[in-house]
Amino acid sequence: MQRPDLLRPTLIPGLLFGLVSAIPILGAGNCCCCLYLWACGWMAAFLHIREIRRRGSTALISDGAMAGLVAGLFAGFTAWVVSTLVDVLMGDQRREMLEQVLDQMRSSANASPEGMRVMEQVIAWLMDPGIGTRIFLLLVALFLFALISTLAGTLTAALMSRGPSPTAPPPAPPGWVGGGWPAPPPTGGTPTEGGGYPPAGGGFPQGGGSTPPPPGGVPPGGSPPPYSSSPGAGSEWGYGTEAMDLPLGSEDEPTQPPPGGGEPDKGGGSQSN
Amino acid sequence: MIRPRFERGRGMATSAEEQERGEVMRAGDRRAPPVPPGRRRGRLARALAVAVTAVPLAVALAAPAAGALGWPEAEAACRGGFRLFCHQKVERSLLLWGAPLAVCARCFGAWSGVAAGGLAAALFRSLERRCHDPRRSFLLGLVILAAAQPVATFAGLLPDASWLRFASAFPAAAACGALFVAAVVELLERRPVPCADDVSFPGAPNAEA
Repeated sequence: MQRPDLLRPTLIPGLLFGLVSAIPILGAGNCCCCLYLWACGWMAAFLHIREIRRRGSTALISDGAMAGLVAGLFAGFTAWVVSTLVDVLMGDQRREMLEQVLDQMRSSANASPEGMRVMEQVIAWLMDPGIGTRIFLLLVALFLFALISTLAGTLTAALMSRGPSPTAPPPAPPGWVGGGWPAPPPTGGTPTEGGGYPPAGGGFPQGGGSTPPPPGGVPPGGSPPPYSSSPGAGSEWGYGTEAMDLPLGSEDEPTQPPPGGGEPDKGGGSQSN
Repeated sequence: MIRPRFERGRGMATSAEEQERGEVMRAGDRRAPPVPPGRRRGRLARALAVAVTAVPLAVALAAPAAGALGWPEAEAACRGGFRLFCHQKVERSLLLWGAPLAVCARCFGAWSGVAAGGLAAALFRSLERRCHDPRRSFLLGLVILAAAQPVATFAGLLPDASWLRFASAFPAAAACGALFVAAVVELLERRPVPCADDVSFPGAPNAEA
């Protein structure tokens, strides 16, 4: 199944949180563990994975990472553009504000000389940024925004439920040709006499029509096991109960078992090669 | 992934091209078998991911080192690069050679954790495989631990110490780093590992049955 487009779920969080990060007062939120960057990755991964699940696919960890990466690149570029604009438009005010901060630090009693030296150095470097400094800041913004946002997207993908959405159509396994269990008779028939549909309780037909389940795969009278990560157990019934829970007695299936009990089902009971 | 294939009585075919050409490794052949392309790409992906996660840590450590070496421009560049992302308060930072690091203690814990978790996932494949289907309660616990420390400090339950900030951010960040390496390997190697609830995953071992 085709993966959804990455642009739409990543563009909005990227622009939004990049803009917020570069606005002078609002941007202070990033001092709280890069809050906006984590939020950017989280939102992008959430939107992207939700769309994947809605289409009936299973999202992977790397889907969240990709969404976070692209959103982080958008956010980094947006933050750089907006901060450059703010710097150009409000350069004098910003310089005065930084000098005030520096004066306050000088006058405070508990300011260490090492801390003062560091702050003066950084503020002097940021006060008169040349073209080289601006390009350097762009690269740093792109890298750190992308990295933190990717981490956030990966964590979101790990925390979210990544299976297909319950409202999505169940995925068809390869080789699935339709058909399945024929519907049981409307009123009290003999389900296992050559009919090929499962008995009440979700078991498998014992007489004619279907290949019996593999040993260890399906307990008698029980439903097929869900997907197991161990390669041995139930590997021939590996698509789990979601794919096997086909509606019995749907309109496009025969409502009566075929006479003679030959091969009533084309795909439902004989997926084991 | 192409694996070296034993052929009864012939030796071991080492790669796809050599298998096509009929070249096989004989017993006693001292030539090392070439690394299959898929595995090589996986190694490259792991190395790339670890390098990416190590960059912020290296830059944070490089700032005081550059100051100690007498390179003020380099030190200012290292500190200025993190200016947009961290408050860089000296009283909340760890010191190296008498100078504060380029980021605060919590951020340094986060970057250290990301680098350490990434390195661990790259070195131990079982950890990397586990990252494709992590336990959500465990991850949530780490995130809550990281978020609880500032709340507890604000409430006066914990002392306001830099090492505590570092230690609270480290575990969650390490989990993120390991997840990051797993995601990069999944992207670049194009061989995703199915997890327990991936019932529709096309590369699942069951899919070909």
